[in-house]
Amino acid sequence: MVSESKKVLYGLYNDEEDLKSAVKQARSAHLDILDVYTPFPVHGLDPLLGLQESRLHIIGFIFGAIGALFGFGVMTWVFTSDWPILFGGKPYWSVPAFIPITFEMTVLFCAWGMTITFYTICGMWPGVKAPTLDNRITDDKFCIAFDVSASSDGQVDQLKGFFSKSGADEVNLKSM
Amino acid sequence: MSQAVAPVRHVLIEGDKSYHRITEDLVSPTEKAPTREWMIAFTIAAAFLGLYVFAIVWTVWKGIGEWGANRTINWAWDITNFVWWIGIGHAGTLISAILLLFRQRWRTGVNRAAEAMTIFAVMCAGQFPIFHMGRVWLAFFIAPFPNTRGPLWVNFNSPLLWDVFAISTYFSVSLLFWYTGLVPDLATVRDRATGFRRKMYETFSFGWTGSAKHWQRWESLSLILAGISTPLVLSVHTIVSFDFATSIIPGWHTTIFPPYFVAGAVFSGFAMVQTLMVITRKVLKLEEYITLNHIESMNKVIVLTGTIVGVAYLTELFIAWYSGYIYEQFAFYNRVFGIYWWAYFGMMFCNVVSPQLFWSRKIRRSIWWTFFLSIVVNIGMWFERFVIIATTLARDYLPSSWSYYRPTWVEISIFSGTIGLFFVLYLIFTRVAPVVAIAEIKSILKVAGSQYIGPNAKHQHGTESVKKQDESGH
Amino acid sequence: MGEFMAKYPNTRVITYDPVSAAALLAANEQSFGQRAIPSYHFDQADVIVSFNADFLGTWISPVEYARAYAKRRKITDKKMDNMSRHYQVESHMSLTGSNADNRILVKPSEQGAAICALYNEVAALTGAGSIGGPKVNDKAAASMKKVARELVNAKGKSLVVSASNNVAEQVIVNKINDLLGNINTTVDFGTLSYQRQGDERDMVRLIEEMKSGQVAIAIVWGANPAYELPNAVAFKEAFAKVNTRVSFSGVMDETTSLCTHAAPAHHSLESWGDVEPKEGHLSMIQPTIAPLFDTRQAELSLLMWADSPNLNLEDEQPYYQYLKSYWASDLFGRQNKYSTPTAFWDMSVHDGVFEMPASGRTVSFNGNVSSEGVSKPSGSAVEISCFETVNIGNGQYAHNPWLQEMPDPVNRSVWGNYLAIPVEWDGVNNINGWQNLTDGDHVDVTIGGKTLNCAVVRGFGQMPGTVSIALGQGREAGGCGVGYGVNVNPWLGMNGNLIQYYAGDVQVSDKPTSTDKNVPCVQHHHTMGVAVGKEEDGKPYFVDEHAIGYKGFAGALTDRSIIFQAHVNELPELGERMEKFHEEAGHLNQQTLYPDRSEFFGTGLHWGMYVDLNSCIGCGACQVACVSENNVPVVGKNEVARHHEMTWLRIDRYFYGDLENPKVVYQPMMCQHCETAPCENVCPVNATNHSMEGLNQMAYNRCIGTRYCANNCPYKVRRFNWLDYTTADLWPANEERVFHVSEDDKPFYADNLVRMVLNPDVTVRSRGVIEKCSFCVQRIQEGKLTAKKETRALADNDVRTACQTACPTGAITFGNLNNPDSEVNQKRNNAGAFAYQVLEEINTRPGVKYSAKIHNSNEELNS
Repeated sequence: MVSESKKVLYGLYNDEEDLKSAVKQARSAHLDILDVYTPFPVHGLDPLLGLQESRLHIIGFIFGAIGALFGFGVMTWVFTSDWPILFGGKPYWSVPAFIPITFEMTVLFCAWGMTITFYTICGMWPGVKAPTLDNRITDDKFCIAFDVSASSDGQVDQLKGFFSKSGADEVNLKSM
Repeated sequence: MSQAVAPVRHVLIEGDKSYHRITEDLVSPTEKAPTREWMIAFTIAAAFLGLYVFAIVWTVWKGIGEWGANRTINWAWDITNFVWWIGIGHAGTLISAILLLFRQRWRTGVNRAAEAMTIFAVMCAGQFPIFHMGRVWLAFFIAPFPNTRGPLWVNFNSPLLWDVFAISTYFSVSLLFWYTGLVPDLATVRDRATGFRRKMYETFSFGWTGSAKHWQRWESLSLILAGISTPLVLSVHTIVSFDFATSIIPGWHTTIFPPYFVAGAVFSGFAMVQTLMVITRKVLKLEEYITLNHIESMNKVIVLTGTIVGVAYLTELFIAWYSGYIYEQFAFYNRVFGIYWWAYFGMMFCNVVSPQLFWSRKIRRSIWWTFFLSIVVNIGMWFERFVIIATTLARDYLPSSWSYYRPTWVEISIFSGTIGLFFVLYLIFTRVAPVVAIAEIKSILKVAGSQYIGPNAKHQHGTESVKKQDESGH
Repeated sequence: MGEFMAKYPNTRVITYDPVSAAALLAANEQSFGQRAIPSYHFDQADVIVSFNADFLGTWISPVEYARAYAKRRKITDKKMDNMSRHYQVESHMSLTGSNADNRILVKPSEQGAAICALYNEVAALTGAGSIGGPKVNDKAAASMKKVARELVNAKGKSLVVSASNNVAEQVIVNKINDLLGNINTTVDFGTLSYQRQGDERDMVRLIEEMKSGQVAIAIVWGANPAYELPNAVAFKEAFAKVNTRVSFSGVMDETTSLCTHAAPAHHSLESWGDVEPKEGHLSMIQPTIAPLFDTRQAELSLLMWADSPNLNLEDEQPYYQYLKSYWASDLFGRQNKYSTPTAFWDMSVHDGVFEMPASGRTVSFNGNVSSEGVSKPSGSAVEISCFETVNIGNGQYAHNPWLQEMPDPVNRSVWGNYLAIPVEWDGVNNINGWQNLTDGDHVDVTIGGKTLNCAVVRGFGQMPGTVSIALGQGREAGGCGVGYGVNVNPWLGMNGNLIQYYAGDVQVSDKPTSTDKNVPCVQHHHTMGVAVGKEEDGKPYFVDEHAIGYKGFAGALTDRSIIFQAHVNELPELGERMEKFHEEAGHLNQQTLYPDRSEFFGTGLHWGMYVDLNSCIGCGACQVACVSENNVPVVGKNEVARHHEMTWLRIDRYFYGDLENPKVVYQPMMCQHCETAPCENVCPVNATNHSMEGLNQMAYNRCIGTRYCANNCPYKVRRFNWLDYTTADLWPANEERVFHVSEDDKPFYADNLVRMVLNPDVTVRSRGVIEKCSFCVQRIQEGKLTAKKETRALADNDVRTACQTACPTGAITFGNLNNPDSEVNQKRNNAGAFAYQVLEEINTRPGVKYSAKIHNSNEELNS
């Protein structure tokens, strides 16, 4: 979502049902949607857009596994190799005692790993300026946007027609 | 997408709201000037916070000897308060995470505030393990980092160290979960703001646009965070309970503590959420979002967990008798009949007896009863931790060491000061962020709004577009 | 002294003892022609009867007596038919009384009557005539009959002693011993004791002489009459009339502050000297440090003032030379061990002691006995006895903070003296003090017109109709003891100018004048099963278990595996009971999550300890030794009242048996150095762990003070530095509540002079750090290093902990458990099943074992 200078034609809908039917129409008309913006997650939209399932859970699993191995490994190394110390008659490798920390490390790594990955792949970070098309999108408007930087006027008109046919409340052109 | 709809469904958003109305109602408290009530509340809370800072500086300067703890009862108010605050914090995560996994839509009315409450409660809780240290300026010893002292590591066998990992994990994961959920709502606030406020919210909303792909990842992240937060909540309070369960003191050394503590944490957490929500909905005029149905649902959780806690108390007494082990038997006899018997009865009455009132639907749906009982529950839960810690230590194995504990003004100031800290943070929160999860409320409007379901339903749920509603003059 | 008196023939030396034995000395002179104390052989006595003589704590030569006494109390095998029987006749619970098999309660003014009663019974059995005399209470009279029979059956092997300061009574006691054949056996005049020589009647005369202006110069040496005398007021008035008043004292005590001149003498650690506490037993006083201040040894001062020709002031240490030449010229001739004076002197200095050949003296009883002059029972409603405590004496040690902070063995209170009142069971659920007073109350006590406000403590074993209070407190000048407790010396009466340590006509205010919730007593709970009567099933009715809460809880105290006790006749049953206990505990201790790790300690050194509760008399010497060895901070009265005391080793004292006349068991409790220590597991920062030699280690530097270890210790032996007691850390000394001092006075360890008392081998801990007994790890290291330097194996005697070395009876034994011949192993093996670990069944596997407590009470006495 790096904003380079481009021209975007977007339409605003008042309801998510209208949005969903519009997306269906656009997909069947093989229109190349740039992006869809909504004020809340709309169920059923993702398959319509043909979005692949997010693989964040795989990332989460990997990070969690790293966390578990790291935590357990460091504790094992410290207690058996680096500086073994007698604590209350326990054996050096006191596995039952390692479990709580191992679990916490799993969760910690999983959560942080996933979250940082999420923000990174979404291009979000503190202070990143949002390339918002319209301030009302986060309020109550649903938006379909097309990249018309390289489109001819005819194509633009076609898109405008699509918008009016699908029930868009507003259609605007914006340079970003 | 049509969803399976239960025949009996509560209205969760009253007042026939539109999406825009929702935005208006929930964002405007952050845009207006602080009300007089807020100023008064903030001043009082800040005064207590000042008292807290004074008492902490006094403690660190002079020593833990300024408290009432002694050679037998080495922990008393400090760790009681620690567990009390952590327990309170767990409700937020429970509401966000576990209720998400159980697809309970009513969580959306309260989850944002509850998660904020978690963060602030954990911050208050964290004060105690830090400042109860005799040499707090060496607190960094507790971090396992390579150093030039050997390297000298920490003791991974120690439940206190597990606490360090658990609490810090819990705090940071809760923060992540809360903040990630908050980002779209901050974007909503941003898009209505101008000038300096706009710059602030731009920074804090990380450039959120509302893109469908982002929403998809956001939901996936939320679901997984919920999925790991659930065992995290259970593990954190379990680990806190291990501070006692893994010791050998009779009355502490018992395997019932993990589930007992977790149930108790949920119990007290929900009670604190109720206290906060009852006030918040009234002051910020959010009764239509935090409805009586929300209040009632939370009261049901309270009566359930209160009963579990009651069962746990009775189990403890039974097992002590059944064990035939004199030290265990005496530990519980002493709790009921010994020097601190009044704390035990306070605990029993407040935790087991009083929440039973919530079996009555009328009381469940009464704001005044809810407010009153939620405070009673939290008092009872404080007594529970006090009974576990101070009563047990006062009468342990060797009678020659038996002692008595009385708090000093320093400890009382610290405790009441953390309440001040909590409310300062909460009050600031209500001014800078939406107290209710805007995007999530909008997402359940069509299945839980008053105009769609319930006795006054004007429209069918789920399928009609809002635009048409607006045309019908709403 | 002789030289001084030669120069100034008008000099008279007047001696008195802080607690007088003048009557005993006079009686011995009358009965045996020796104005001295004999050697008492407690180890040869099958039956011991003590009339108020605290011979294990404070009476004449307690260390010597305790060592001998303990020999007859240890269990050496399962039968133990060699155990002595000890009767104590007293009104208050003294240290000696707490160790006795039977306590016969008589009021303080009835001591004379009790002595007469015993005499008459013994006389009846041995064919001598009765002497009549005042009557003692019926219960005691009945007991005396049985006691007399036992004494007569143990002829020649018994011992009767008395602390009475009445000549007639002591003469009667002498005759009792004579009738029993004890003279020249257990009462041995072959080696005289010079440990008491004073006579306060001389002081009375002196006061008269001073008053009438007959005394021009008074020199006070090692005495503090302005505090110690009952007639101190008279003394002060008379003393003021003396023109020149000189004091040799090193502190500005009550008497010195009345003097015109102070000629402070060296501290004993800065002095040369010799002493002869017992006939023929010479001991050297040797300096360990050059004099710190501008002082001069008192002997040297006297010699200088006497212009002694034997003194050479050009010498570097004139008195040293004087002493040396005295040994050469005088003492050398009386011995035959060394052939040259130089060898004699050098070896004596090296050894520190020298024993002259024994005198071989025997005596026989002369004269008559009569009950005339025996003190008569006062008949008052309330009587008081005043006694010396083992730590304070009669004020000699009141300015020693270690000793002030050492809890009194019997009432476990510190920094002051406390009026012990009798207790009773209210029949429901309270053990109340007399007149419903309780610990922390203050009452006005008036005796002989003098009123003092005393703090009250419940005294288990205090006879109804009596109260008691310790001497030695209420100091008014001279050091840290000022302002604590009350000076009860003015209450003491005189009889024939001999001080009597009791009084009648005691008026106690009905209601407390004030109450202080903060009681400076280190124990909050005192009993382990005291009973009044029996339950329906014949078992004792334990009132403390009923007082423990609503409706009581049977077994709450008596079922704990902390103390095992039995009568010596029940040894086999006790042995069986303990075998069963060990078996059960062993079974429970096998149920572990982690595998057994004992093989860690199987090779090399494994330090362990054995504490023989039958030898332990509760004197507390070990406790003070530990404090001095390990730089344990003194925290002051207020902090002890808040249960912030710092002592690593404590002597737990439990009353058990009958509520009105309970038995006592003392249990020294220090870090048990558990193999599976609960404390080690829970420290988050690794500050406490286990060494390969079996020690639970404490790294003070690492401790951040979370106190989890202290909570998890079942024995509660860990101590936390709650405030800045040692001024050892970053933050400035800031504890106004810690010490009862004005703003001018610094906390103890902030003063450079006081800091010299610290042991350089041991760190001083800062605020916020946990500390506990380390088995004197510094001594362990020293022992190991010494053996290493001498390239030999560590011997059993190389390492002795401070508590072990201080104990007079050898109750504490420390050593290597992996050495089968070590003393600690021998003692443990000899004790067999009677050796146990406290809380053995909770799988802490302590390194310290205790012995069961055996007593030999005469069950027929219902006293």
